Amino acid sequence: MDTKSWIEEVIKQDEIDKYLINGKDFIDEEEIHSKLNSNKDCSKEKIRSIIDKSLTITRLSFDETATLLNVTDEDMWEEMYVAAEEVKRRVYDNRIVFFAPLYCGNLCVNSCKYCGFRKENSAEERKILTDGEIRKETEYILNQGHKRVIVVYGEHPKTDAKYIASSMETVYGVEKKLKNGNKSRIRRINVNAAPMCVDDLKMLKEVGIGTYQVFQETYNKETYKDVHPSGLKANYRWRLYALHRAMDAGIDDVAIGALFGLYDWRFEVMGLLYHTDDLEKQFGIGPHTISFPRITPASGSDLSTSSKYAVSDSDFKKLVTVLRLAVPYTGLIITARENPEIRDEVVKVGCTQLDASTKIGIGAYDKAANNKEEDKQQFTIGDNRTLDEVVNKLATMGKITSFCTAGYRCGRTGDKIMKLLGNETEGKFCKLNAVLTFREYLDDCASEETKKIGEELIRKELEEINKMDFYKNNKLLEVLNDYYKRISEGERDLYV
Amino acid sequence: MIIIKEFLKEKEICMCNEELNDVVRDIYKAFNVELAICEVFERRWSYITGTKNFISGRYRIKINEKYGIIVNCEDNDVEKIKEGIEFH
Repeated sequence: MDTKSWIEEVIKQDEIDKYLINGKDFIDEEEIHSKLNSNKDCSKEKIRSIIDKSLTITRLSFDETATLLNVTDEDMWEEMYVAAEEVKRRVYDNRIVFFAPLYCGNLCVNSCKYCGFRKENSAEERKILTDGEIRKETEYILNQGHKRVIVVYGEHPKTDAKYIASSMETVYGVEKKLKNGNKSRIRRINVNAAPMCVDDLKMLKEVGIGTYQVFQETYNKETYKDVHPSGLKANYRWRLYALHRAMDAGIDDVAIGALFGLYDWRFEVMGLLYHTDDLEKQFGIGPHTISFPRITPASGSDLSTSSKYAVSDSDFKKLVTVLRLAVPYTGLIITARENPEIRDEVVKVGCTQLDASTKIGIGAYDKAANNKEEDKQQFTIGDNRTLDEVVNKLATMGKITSFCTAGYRCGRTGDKIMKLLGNETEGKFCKLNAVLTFREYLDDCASEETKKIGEELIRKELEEINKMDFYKNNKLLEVLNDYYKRISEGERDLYV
Repeated sequence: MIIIKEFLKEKEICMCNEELNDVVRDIYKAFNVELAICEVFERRWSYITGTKNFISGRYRIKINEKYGIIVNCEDNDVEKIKEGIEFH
């Protein structure tokens, strides 16, 4: 099928209309601006009562979130930072999960003004990875120690749902022998791709997708129209309801995000909350994760270097803090777009996932393995640290690295995991699986320096675990001890 | 012991939640274990329904191509449960 015919068949209007309420979508811009303009009672008592609500792992209301966004007292922000970290600890314990992005194709039919993939960018070398190339990329990623991947694609008929499903099967099929002889595989694949129809999404479900991720980029409709002048992505509502369709296709782990720097950051935080609210209303399940990339220089994009809504580092830390407090149960992803200093700072206010050893060029991991120069990329990377360097840094901060993929393999998905997150049970499993997967990492891939500090961290975690009634009462201590021993002896992929 | 009905042997059969709840109840009554039924897609075991107090389970048992159970039980009960849900 030629590209023009393919484009004409992608959008299914009935798969937008079915989710509208009284013919309207859930982004009421007038209401959002009104709430931001009216919720200015930022007294200490009011803010502290909102923080207290968040600490009960209850999602905040639109008004409460708007109030937090209007805080100007820096002392109150310090209280909010502390509370954000505590919320994260209660829900997800002390662990940070790692993943690697794997860019499979940069052909694209869209014209997003901020992106290096936009079809008008003739400086971009266009490529789609073959099966063999995907295998090589995966092997490099596995060699670093990763077990989780997010696969990324431009929107194009050559990287349609069939290609995505096939590439996922290729990634899942790779087995890499590590330098110590142990074998490693990717255990969870999340997908960042264009919005699709329900039938296409079912294809991804069939091959065992983890999370399906689609960023709205901006919830402001005027800005959306301006930065997406043509192509499929110009359809705001088709994108807005991408995750609703995923739910209807049976993919119950979905992820949302906005590209900060396109419009007012406070508005975008509210947009993410309205999105969360509508998913909960219509499906009883909110987003598995929220992402908040900031606009960074991209090849062929003037907007990416000159936006009037660019977000400062201090505002960035604030918006992440508010997201953490507003949606206590969701995962928060901070990527290597950000430089090391800001990532290390912002991880302290409740982030749960990071990437590292990141390459975002098509075929870039293999190029790195062969010391070849990288091609132009979708955007620039701020944090070029290796996985080991970031793991080491987190360990010095007292945070344990995790490569856990247990949840979706143990039925802890969709509304089940939402309940477990909300009643602070899931974090108990996070703790165990962090120890088990960190043990694997230390034995298979860690540097001597990281091993030293990592052993001490594991020792502390085990000490804590042995004191906790939850594990005794649910007979999990025996399971952990058994699995830990077997992993130490070389067995792999044991999870709780 | 026959617990699961004949039609579960069919590869692509879809069951409604009521039928799946029956399966959960049958297994719970027979073995007194907390369990969940999941729809299986390769590695993904998506929770559908389960016993009230189910949090997680150590053992995953495929019932057929489409469904599996995750069960919290003693080691030596796993084989009994597997045999119990097989069809003769």
